[in-house]
Amino acid sequence: MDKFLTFTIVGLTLAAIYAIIASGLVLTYTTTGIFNFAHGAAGMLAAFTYWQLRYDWGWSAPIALFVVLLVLAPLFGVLLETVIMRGLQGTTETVKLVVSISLLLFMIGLAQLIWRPGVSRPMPSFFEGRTPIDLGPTTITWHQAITIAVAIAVAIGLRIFLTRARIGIAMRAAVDDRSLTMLNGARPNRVSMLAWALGTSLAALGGILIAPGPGLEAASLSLLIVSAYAAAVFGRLRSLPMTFVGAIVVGLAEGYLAGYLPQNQYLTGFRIASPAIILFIVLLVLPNPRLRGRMTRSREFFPMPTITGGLGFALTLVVAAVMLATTLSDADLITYGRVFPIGIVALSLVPLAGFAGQISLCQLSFAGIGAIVMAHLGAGGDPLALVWAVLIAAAVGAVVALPALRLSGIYLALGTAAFAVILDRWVFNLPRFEVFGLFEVNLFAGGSVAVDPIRAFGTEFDDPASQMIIAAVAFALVALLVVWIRRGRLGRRLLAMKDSEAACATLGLNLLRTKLTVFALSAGIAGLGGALYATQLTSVQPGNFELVQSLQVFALTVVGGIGAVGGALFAAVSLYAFLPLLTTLWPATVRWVGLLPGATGIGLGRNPNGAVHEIRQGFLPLLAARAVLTVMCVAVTGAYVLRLLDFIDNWTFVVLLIACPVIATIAAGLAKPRAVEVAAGHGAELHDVPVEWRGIDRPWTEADAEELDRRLGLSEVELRGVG
Amino acid sequence: MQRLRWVALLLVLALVAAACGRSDDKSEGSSGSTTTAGSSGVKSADFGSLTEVCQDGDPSDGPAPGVSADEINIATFSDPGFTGRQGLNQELFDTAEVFAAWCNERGGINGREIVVHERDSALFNVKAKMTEACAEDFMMVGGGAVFDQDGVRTRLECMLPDIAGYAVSPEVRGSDLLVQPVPNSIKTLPVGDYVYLKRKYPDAVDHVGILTGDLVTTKLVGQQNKEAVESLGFEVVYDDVYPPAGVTDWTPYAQGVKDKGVKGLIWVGEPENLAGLMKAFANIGYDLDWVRTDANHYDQKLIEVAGSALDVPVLIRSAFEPFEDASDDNATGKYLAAFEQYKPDGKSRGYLGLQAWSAWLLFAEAAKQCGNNLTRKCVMENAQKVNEWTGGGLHAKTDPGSGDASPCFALERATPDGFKLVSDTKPDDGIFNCDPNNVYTLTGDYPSGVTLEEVGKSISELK
Repeated sequence: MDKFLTFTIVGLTLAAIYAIIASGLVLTYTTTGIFNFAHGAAGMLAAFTYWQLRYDWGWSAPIALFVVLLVLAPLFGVLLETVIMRGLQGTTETVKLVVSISLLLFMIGLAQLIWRPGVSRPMPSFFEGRTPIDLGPTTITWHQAITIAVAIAVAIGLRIFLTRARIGIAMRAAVDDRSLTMLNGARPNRVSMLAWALGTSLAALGGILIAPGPGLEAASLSLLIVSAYAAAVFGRLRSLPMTFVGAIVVGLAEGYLAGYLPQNQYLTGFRIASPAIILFIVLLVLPNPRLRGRMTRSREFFPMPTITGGLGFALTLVVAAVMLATTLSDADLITYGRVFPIGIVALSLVPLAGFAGQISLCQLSFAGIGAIVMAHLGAGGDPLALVWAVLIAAAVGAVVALPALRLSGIYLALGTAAFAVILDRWVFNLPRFEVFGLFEVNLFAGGSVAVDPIRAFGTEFDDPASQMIIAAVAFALVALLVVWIRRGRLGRRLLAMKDSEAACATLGLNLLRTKLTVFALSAGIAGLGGALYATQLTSVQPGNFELVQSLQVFALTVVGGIGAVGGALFAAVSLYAFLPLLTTLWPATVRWVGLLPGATGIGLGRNPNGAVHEIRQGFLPLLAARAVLTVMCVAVTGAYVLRLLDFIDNWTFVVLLIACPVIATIAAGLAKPRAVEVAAGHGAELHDVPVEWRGIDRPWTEADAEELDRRLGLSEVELRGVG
Repeated sequence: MQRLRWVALLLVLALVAAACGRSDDKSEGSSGSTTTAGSSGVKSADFGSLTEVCQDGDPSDGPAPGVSADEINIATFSDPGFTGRQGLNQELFDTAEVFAAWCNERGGINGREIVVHERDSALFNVKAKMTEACAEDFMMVGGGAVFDQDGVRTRLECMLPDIAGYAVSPEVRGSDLLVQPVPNSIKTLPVGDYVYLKRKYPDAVDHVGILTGDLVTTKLVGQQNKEAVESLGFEVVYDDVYPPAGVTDWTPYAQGVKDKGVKGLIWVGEPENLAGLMKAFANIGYDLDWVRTDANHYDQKLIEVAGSALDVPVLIRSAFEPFEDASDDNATGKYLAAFEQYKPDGKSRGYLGLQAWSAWLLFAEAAKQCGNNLTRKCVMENAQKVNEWTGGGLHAKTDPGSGDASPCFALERATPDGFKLVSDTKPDDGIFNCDPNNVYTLTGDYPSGVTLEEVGKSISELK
């Protein structure tokens, strides 16, 4: 009995913390429609700040609490709302999600920058050392009692605030109908600001209460709070009372699982993954209401890729890979060669998230499955294992898709994130087991597995150069496949589904089949990427395929441009070439590098089309001027030949490589200004194609969309949001 | 828009600049070359019980890869560049820098200056850094990587010997061309501390628990400890793992230990988590007879975080001379003084740094005997001949040559006021108990080390 009571108290304490954090999350979500992935990270930052004030600077606890909870946290919330979140109106769910994921990565980087990791920062619990309160059969510590009391106070306080206070009622009104509230003279922007201030304060409170347990460690503290998300989902991201109920269910479930789950080698990871498992179950079992936020028209615009463009891209890429493979040292090839397999994983997101609008945060988990298949079936270098990697990953993708089919938007993102955690915390760590006595499964062999290099066409691809070329060719082929899909029937179906599932269903489109197809396809592509990644690494472990890496790949692909194959390359190059290079060239930057992926993602709100779009626009004049292009290609080839013959060293080669396209672009711009304008779409009026024929008589450009809006009388503000 | 354009530009630059890696720049950060070799002054090159560790000479030619007439290029591995945990194991680089500076000022190795190449594997980049080391360096000394199994095959393929600061994975711990100054063997386990616990706390013998961090390497250590204590007659009634990333509330684990009636707990993990667990024990009011853990817990963090929860005996097995006993004329004091002189802000007070320093000493001792003809073969043969080694008095007697675990141990008890040496361990060699029965030979089925044969090489190819 005392054991049961002890675990009930543990569960209720967890529940109290989750309730506090989740209610803050619900407040911000309902008023602004943005699910803040960085909510937990805000709590983490608050815990660090509290530690700084209270223990490093020796302030007294009440003053430190006052400053953190009632001054700094609300200010930070207001800052987030006005600077970042307000600019997200009129963007898709994907962009909103990426901005908040990036914010999470940024805050972790920031905490590590300010509070150097690896230094001891003891954070005692409240009234530590005081004798626990005796409850007869068991005891409850002061910290636990305070936590539970605070949660009850928060519940009562929020209830009074939202039903009695004028601004609280306005807040609820804004949630119900923003336009109507505005008509009645309330100011929704102020309401949003207040919600963010309050929400961040609650996150801070939760962070300070939870931190003494696991200790101050930025990344794990931010992600521990994920359990609170399950509570918020329980309340359907809307109802505060249900969120509190959810918190109690989740907290107690975790407490009892910790206490009563039998000890056995297959279940150790299960306990560690249990918050994610609970989240997954809650998502699947509870009916998901329609998501808030009626999308009228997104600011995103991805032009239809052309076949020649796709072929050109693929060819350029393979040529570039061959150039790198023949000029780089082996060590650099190992470091930078990962660009291509990770690029393939990022490519898997293009049809899924870019075309079909289905958010998945578990692509690296599929890659992990591909890697496992490669390790076991590819022993001896059998190239057929690549096919198996694709097929098995695709099959798992389809199986995951089945329950996930009814999820959409943020729920799908949470579900796939939970799936990723379940895999990397539990399944990937399983020891050897048998399936119905039929065959043995040994995933990562409880540690790491070795992967043999591929043998095909009579050669063994065991050196970094040939592996890089193989991966580059695979990337190019998959990129062509994605372009082909985009141009074909399936691509149109996916885009239609992204625009409106209801409309598609009405028109007789089989949503189930379409979703299954795209999930399996995407998982298969990721599996291929994982398999190739594994052959490069030569030994793989679960740590190579964790959620945080999936988050980074997803965020940077969206930053690059999720609707285009170039976006995938952008993500891979940023993560696996740019960042390592930066720290190699300037080792002092290592502490700042952690901020970069997050910082670029946060900037996304300003330009939802992605960076690749910008880059492409820059090169358009060059593509239009064939003569200059030819000269440039000859020049690059010449430089390459000189490098191969060792007439010039790598640095000169690089300078020439950069100089060629730059000079060529300038030359092309000077030579044919008109062609440039046409190519960039600004010359539309010159040709005087009527608006209704644009996109038919000549390619559709972004400028046409603006022109169309103008003629239809839609105002800029309305379309672009406030930012 | 503007900013994104900048980012895009930077990325394009980065992609092409990656091509420059081949040019022979020293961006790795060669360090420790504060003074040139050959200018040995009046400074003593003795270290503890070792004499003339470094010395002037008149070297000529480059008899081996990575060695020239006036330089020896050495690779030291560590992971401080991992963005998730910046500065991870920085002490290995600090130690390498300090030793190189200390030694070069005393003439280097027979007049050749030690040039340290800091190979920062940043956790996931071991293989690439190993390839670089293969191309440029004579040997690896005083380093280690958390995921060292990723590089061991590459290392053996290029026949690069390693006198390791530390080794983690069984693949590396049992690999060829490896000498460990304080061996972390995969075949033998030191059990002197368990023999002591059995004698001192007979009541706990039938109530032992093991709690291990959920990492592949720590789980292996946990399993091996379990096998060893069971062979000594302990009964393990509790065996569990915890998530190394942290636990929200340690009470369930404390309660689990209490439910099984555990009296003695073997902890395989890291200090801050142990501190959390100890606080949970204090809160539920459960007193263990003993908690036993490894040398990585000789860390101020444990005391700072756990505080008064350390009333029960938390015993740390160690084979090192404690820092508390450092003085001007013992080896530990000399080590600290070298840091004070060459890198005062470096991380010196940790056993990992001491162990790396011992590796450097072992390398210097083995290399100096080769004279001018410094080859990998010569250094390895000399290092493998060493069967009694104390790092000049930094630690208990070890046997780097055989690579078996040392029988010597001392116990440090963590108390709220600091670490205290346990005195009733029947020491027979200074503070250490070196009874030959303190080593247990493991019989279980554990992963083995990578051999030269597995990568298609043989020892006769070592030049």
